[in-house]
Amino acid sequence: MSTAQTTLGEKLQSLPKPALYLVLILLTSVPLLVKITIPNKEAKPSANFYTMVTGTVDPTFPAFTTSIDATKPVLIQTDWTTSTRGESAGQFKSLMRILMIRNIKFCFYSAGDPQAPQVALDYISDINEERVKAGLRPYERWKDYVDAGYFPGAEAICNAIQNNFGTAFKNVQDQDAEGAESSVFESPVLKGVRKVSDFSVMILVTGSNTSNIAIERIKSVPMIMMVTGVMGPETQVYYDSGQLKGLVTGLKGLYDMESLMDKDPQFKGKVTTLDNGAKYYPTLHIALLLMIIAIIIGNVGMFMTKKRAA
Amino acid sequence: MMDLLAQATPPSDSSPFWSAPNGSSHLVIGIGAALLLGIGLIFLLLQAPVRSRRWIVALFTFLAGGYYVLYFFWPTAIDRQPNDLPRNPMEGVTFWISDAFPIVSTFTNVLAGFLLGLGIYSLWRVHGRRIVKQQKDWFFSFVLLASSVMMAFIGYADWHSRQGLNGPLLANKANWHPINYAFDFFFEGGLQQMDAAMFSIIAFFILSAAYRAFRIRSVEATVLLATALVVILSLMGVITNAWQSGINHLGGPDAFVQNFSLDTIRTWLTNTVQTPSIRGIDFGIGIGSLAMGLRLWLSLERTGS
Amino acid sequence: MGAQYLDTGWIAEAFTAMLVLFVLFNIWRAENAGKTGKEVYIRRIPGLNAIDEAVGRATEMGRPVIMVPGLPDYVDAIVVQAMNIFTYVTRIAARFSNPILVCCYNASVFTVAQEMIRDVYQQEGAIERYDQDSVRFISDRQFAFAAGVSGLILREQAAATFFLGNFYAESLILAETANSVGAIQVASSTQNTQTPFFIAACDYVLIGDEFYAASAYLTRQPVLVGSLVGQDWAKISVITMVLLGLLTTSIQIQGKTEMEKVASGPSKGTFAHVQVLSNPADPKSPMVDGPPRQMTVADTFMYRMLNPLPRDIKFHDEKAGTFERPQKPATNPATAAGGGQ
Repeated sequence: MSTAQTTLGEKLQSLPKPALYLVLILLTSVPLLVKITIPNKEAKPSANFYTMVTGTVDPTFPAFTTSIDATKPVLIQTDWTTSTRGESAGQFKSLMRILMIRNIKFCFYSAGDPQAPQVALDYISDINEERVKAGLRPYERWKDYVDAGYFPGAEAICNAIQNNFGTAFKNVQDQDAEGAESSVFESPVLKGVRKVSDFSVMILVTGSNTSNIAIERIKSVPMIMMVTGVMGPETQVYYDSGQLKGLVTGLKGLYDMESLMDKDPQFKGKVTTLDNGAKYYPTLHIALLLMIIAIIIGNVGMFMTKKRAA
Repeated sequence: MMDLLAQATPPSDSSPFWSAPNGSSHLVIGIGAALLLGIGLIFLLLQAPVRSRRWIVALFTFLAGGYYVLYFFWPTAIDRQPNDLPRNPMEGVTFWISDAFPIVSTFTNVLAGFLLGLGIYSLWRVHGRRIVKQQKDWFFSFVLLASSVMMAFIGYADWHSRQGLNGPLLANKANWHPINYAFDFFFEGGLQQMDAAMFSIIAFFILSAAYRAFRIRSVEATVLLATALVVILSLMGVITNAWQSGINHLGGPDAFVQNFSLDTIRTWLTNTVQTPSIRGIDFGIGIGSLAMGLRLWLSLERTGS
Repeated sequence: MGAQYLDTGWIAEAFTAMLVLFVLFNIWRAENAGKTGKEVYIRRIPGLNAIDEAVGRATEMGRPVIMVPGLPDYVDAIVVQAMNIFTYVTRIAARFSNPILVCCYNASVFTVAQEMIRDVYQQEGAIERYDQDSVRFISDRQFAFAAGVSGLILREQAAATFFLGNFYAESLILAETANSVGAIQVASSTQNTQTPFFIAACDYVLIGDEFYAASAYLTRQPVLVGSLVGQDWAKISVITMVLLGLLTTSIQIQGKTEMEKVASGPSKGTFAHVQVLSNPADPKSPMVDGPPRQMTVADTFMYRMLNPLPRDIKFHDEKAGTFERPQKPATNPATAAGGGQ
């Protein structure tokens, strides 16, 4: 069929991919140039997550009053790398800001990606720079947090953590204050920790299905999660069943967290509250809008062609 | 024999069977002996008649898989403390399984290390030949091999520079040496950014795939499109707020019309329609995995026939 | 019980054992079908015809078939299943001298794949046509792998692609790239989140356990066919459990109860009379036996059976400790200190 014979309907059905891609690039670049504020209503799972880690009860959701014991350390499984940083980096940063402001010690490890611990360290370093600029003390490795590294085989390590945390992390070392590799159990963070229930909460920041594996295996500690939008539907079911005490999903969840932080005097003015979520949420809007328009154009083209054929 | 796999932390032995301090002669001798023993065993296995070789492989598969079956199904000890001894033979097995786990995992890691070597050998063979024969796009093969050597070298040098007292010092960028900057440039500036770039391509592909696939060709496709639209719109704060204002205008907080907020419809769709479907598919996949695992463990599978 | 069942107790292990028996029994039944004269019947999934069609088209066009057995961390059941299907594809390709390419994400998968593909050529008597480079290790970094495979699809102008196994975010990148070169695509991901992407971009998608069923349909090996029938029995059992739970729970929660399971404290897991505050206005007032209350899901038979809520047994607790374990002689202070060594 030659181009001259192509009808408008057919054209609408076969828009060239490069044109679609170009429009996407142009439109999603708009929020980089113009500041757009999107109205937001926080979702319950995000508000619940927020209450767990901050102790602040949002007036919109007065029923959620549980909060973690700030004197106990937090166990973090971080399974994201820069590929999902659009969502995960913002989530991780907001979590770090909260824990650091509240002086909560934490231990992190990865069961999903060997690069993940290094990525986490990089972002912790960024937050530390931000804290120093704001006149706050930097969070110190070994004293305030430990990096337990990467464990291959998520199922095995999650099972081992549940069965006996002391054995699971027995050979794990991190650099102590003198730079020597020492057992993480000698650090101020994990001193006295032997069981997973000695942590106040377990938090997963993930872009993959390690969330499912963790929730299927680990049960002796309250669990909350920060997952990407794609993992949302699969993880939501565990929140609904009560197995997760809080859930932050994708960019929307991140924006919820940032909005809540922005309203909370614990954080407002002390640390950055509106960050990646506020920056990227308008971009998501535009991309979704473009997708809807593209679908409509394709369908209009199809109907025009059908009508012509009839 | 029962203790052989569980000697990571023997009660009174300071030199456990399966490990030795880094750099010690004990370790070097151990690795050498294990290598020789491994090569000898493989040689013996190759000498065995084909029929008995199959039985030997099946036996090893059964034993190796058997450990994990026990690990997952044997009752676990409640609140075990580091110095506890088992109360009865049943708990003795529990302790043995739990203590052997780090050793068995290390076996797996050692095997994976050797296999990674084979993988890298394949990569070098394919791309090395392309460079030598100056085949089409040989330059890209050169870039690949050069990058892998360089990243290994820089990564090791960076790690080495952070050992000892330098570690805490290098947490501050002001104290960095050129090698730390080089690692940061290639790891953070190169690898990580390329990873992110590949991931971001999905945004383009989602758009083109959605444009091509979401056509109202049948009743099912129409239902799919409608639900997709609800979910997409519910992710857009502007739309959900506008929709909610409209609904609030129609009725108060307890009005029936409140059931039709975008969030409520989306939640209903995900919880009532999507989640059960996912669970149903998951059951199928789980049972399929179980059956497949059984066939492999018991060597019932005859692959390649 | 083990941690794997979220404390579902013996019932879950018994149920798993039953499913295992179903599979093994049906494998035995299928293997002995010749003796008993009762053939095990399975119907064919129409979508599987696409496999023959895809390879046929690749042969006509003289372009390669590209196969990817997912992105697993190690050789697991899913990889072996994908490779089983790939050996079938390779067999057809070998008969027609059609080039193939198997792209591996993991080095251990690479070695297994190499063995299996070489075996196929050997069995077909065409070992001279086996190209050692047709099975390749690409990278074990997710997006480096996606970039590598996409590059191969574009450069080799693949006529057919098979993406079967564990795929994650790269699924759409691979599928859209293959779509752009006009390749006929058969795909399946055991990751539910990725199935919609494959459906949007591929020609044929095996959903859920169709992936596991495929090799049985294709090869008709008695072990695989029997196992498949066993899987169906297992699925029927799961459905029965779900329906039973639905029915008993729906009926039970209509009633009232005056006994409830204690959720915490020293009596956790035991049954006690429903407790209420003696003075509802004062939260510090003592608890007394209350009137029967409406049953909740947590009070139902099915819920209790699957969530036994075991009693907390406190070891090393001087007040409650009756289950002290004997202690190792503390000769090594490093290991005696707990946790680390």
